[in-house]
Amino acid sequence: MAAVLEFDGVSKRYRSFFARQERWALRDFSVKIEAGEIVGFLGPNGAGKTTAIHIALGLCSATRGSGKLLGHSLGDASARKRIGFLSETPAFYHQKARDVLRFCGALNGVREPELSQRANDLLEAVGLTVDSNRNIGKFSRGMLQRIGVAQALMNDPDLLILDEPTSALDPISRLQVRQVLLDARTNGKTVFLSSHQLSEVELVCDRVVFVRAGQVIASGKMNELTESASEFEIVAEGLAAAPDFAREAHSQNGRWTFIVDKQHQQQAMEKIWTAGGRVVSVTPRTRNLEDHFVQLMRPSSPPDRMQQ
Amino acid sequence: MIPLLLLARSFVRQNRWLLVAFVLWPFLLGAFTWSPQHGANKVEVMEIVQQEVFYGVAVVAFLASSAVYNEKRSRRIIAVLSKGISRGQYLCGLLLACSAFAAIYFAAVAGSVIWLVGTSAPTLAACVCLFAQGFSAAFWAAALSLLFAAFLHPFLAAAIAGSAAFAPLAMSKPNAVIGSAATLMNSAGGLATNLVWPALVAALLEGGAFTFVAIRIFASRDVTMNIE
Repeated sequence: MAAVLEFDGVSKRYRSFFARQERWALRDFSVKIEAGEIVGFLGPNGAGKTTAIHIALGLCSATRGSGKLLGHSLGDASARKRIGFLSETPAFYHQKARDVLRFCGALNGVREPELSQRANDLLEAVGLTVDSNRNIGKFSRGMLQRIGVAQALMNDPDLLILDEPTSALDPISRLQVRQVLLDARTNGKTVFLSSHQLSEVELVCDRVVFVRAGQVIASGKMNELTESASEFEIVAEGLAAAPDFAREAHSQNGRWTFIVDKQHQQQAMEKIWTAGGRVVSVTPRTRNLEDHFVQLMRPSSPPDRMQQ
Repeated sequence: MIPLLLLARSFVRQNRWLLVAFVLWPFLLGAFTWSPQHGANKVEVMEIVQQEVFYGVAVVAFLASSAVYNEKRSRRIIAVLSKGISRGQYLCGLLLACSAFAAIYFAAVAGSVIWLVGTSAPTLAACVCLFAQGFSAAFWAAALSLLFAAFLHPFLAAAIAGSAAFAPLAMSKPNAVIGSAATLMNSAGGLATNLVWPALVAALLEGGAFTFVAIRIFASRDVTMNIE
């Protein structure tokens, strides 16, 4: 499948000339986003997510490495016409909400009558039809965020790059934005979503890329990460002690609860039955995205090359 | 061309209150010299116009020098440059906005002169020259400011552009090509009825050249220094 966005060994160094300090925001950063995917881009603050997005859009240049954006070099203006981008802190010229959308659409080459039609449709999609004639200078942060999402969709983009799209939103607005993302997936759009809202990412993304200290430390398909049960919690009664390979074993009211790895599951059952015990329940323990994130982002944890 | 016009319109709109003050300024100054019985003294009007030309060029240079910096600081530059427009179009949009400021201001200055002195043929000719030469000098200063603002702090850029524009005034007769802006400011402020064509053409060509170099420099600069 064709790569819509590709970073190939991109590094970015920020240097303060007078202080003679330097900092690498990205180091040998390589990621490939294919058409039709919704990819979550996860990492702690300072991991380099926003820098990577800014390099893709040509807002800053890479110190080393290269990449492709919709078949052009990173930051190419003609490629940007086919992209919808929402920045972490959206800022626009202070004008009416409808005019902001028309301005952003026109900069990407959308012309009348499509311009007005799309502006109206998107204002409705993000729940701002009533406020369409209000100056955005008087908007709350959440309303600005929703206008930001709407302007990113004005040109019916092939690739949506969203940096924290739901960070300032209330639950209802978050649902609206989630629906917009799901609609984008239905329409075959590619979405690159940087977010700290892990539950959001878990709900909409097909794949996630974990970034730490400017490097990709892991990536994987969402269903593989969250659905594969590698551990089981077993509750049994009538046992004198838990099997020796069990973990986190504890006993309460004559019932033993313990964790076993997938490969020990059958062995554990046999041991319980042989010892004259009874299995009460066997529950697969799935790890959610937050568990993966916390494990990967611990300073002590080594880079995990899940799917690289 | 449409992105340039859109950018310029948005920039002017964003700074509309400054523009309103800019337009009212010549009329407010003129009101001090005008009396209902005698109208205005032409010598006094010339002195005021000379000052207004200098102020106009200085303010436009300062506006241009701070334009990129303010857009970066407000983060609006990210919203604009993430769209399908090039760095060159962006910079030209800002220059167009500054030029629109200059055009409106010098039209207001010319309007105030007509109000104070009357609509005789020499006055109208002087006003046309005032507008054309004042605008050209401001365009030259704005382009030079943008060039330095592409890689320097705006105050430094404004100081350099201002020095380049005003330093030749120290000479009794500035060179029309090297000191084109100074020549134009002198001629416009003196309400001359003839255009100084060599200085006017030189200012426009030099302004174009400054813009070209500014675009080359700006294209290689990071517009965001955000380290998360």
